[in-house]
Amino acid sequence: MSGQYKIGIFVGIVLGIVIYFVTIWLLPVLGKLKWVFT
Amino acid sequence: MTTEEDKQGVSRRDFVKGLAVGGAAGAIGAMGIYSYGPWRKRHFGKVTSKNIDIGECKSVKITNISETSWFDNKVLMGDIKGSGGLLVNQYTYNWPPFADVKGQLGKGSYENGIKHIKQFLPDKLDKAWEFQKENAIHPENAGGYACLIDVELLDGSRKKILLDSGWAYDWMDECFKREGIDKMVSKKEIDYFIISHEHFDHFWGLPVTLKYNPEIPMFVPEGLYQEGFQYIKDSGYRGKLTVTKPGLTPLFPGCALYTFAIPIICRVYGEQSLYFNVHGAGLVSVTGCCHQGIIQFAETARRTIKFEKLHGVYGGLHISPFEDWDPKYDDLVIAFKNWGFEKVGCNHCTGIVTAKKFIEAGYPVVKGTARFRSKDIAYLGNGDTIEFKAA
Repeated sequence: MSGQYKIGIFVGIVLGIVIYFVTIWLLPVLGKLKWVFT
Repeated sequence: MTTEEDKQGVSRRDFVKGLAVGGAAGAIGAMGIYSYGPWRKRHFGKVTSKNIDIGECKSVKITNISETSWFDNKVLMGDIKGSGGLLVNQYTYNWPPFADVKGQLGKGSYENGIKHIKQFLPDKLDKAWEFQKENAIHPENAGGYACLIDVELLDGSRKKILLDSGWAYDWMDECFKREGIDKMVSKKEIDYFIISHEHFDHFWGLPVTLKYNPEIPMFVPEGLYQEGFQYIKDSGYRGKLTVTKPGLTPLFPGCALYTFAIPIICRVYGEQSLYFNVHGAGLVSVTGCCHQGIIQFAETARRTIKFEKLHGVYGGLHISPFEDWDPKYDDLVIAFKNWGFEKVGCNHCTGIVTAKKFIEAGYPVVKGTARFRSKDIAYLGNGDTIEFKAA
């Protein structure tokens, strides 16, 4: 396992957590904007 | 071929692979953390209870007047099977007090039975029962179910409820006298006379109560058949009859009736039970036969009434009324634990087998004294009492 792969995993985990929580946080806002898509 | 990246010991491809694996792991891990964390609750809607506040009472004392509805299971089941089974109209059995002359099993009717005793009701019950002894099917097997509920309200006043009136005139009169119910009814000390349902062992002893007070305020569940209403008239009732609708009927602070619209064996419809909210203790459920089932009985309380916790239960729980056993009854015994009753005063159609299984399972069953023809100390027998109040 190369150094770049390990760094990639680390960055990925951090990004994955951040993106997930940002999405959850944004869900109610997105829910209110559903009229845009309908 | 070596690339510039390899020369520098840097691999963009490896980094992107790691990023993908790490991103997936991070997102899944975050889902797990979020699902089990307290933050998830912000998505839950706020639940407000719509349960009804029936108030509170101070204590509930129950005296078992009689729980021995019949004395021999084999004889009772033989008669029911001989009449055509559990779905046959109970008034056709030729059981007392509706026996025709030399009544034959399963060939009777209300009209043919009542005509022989109507002139004796409700005052000359000895004569009416003499006729039954000569003509009815197994009159010696008839007993009855009835109990006295003495409630102390928060202000110190008392309310008395007579739940059911048993079956055999001679047996019930003997039981009433033993517990002083005859005098209480005569002195109009009973505030509510409640018929749980139309079954022979709870309702057919009606004239025994009416003999002492034909004007006693009486409550019957909606679903009583025409014969039932006619029997009330023919027994000489002159008081205020209330027919309770399915659902909750509050009676006084801390007490409510609940009518269950359910079909019952022997062609009966509807049963009503009582709930008491005892201050500092919790909800006490009192039932005649509990044909609605103990699960529905407890679940209805939880869904309908405001209370702190389920505290106690009294009466027939209808699990093994004929002392038979089926593996599915074990599920009921196991499920009973989920309700967390703190005091269990079972008897009658609960079945001795069930009471013993409750005791084996470690449930707080109040044992009896097996007097006055009650068969076992495993449950509350005739003449036994139980009290529910704050510890």
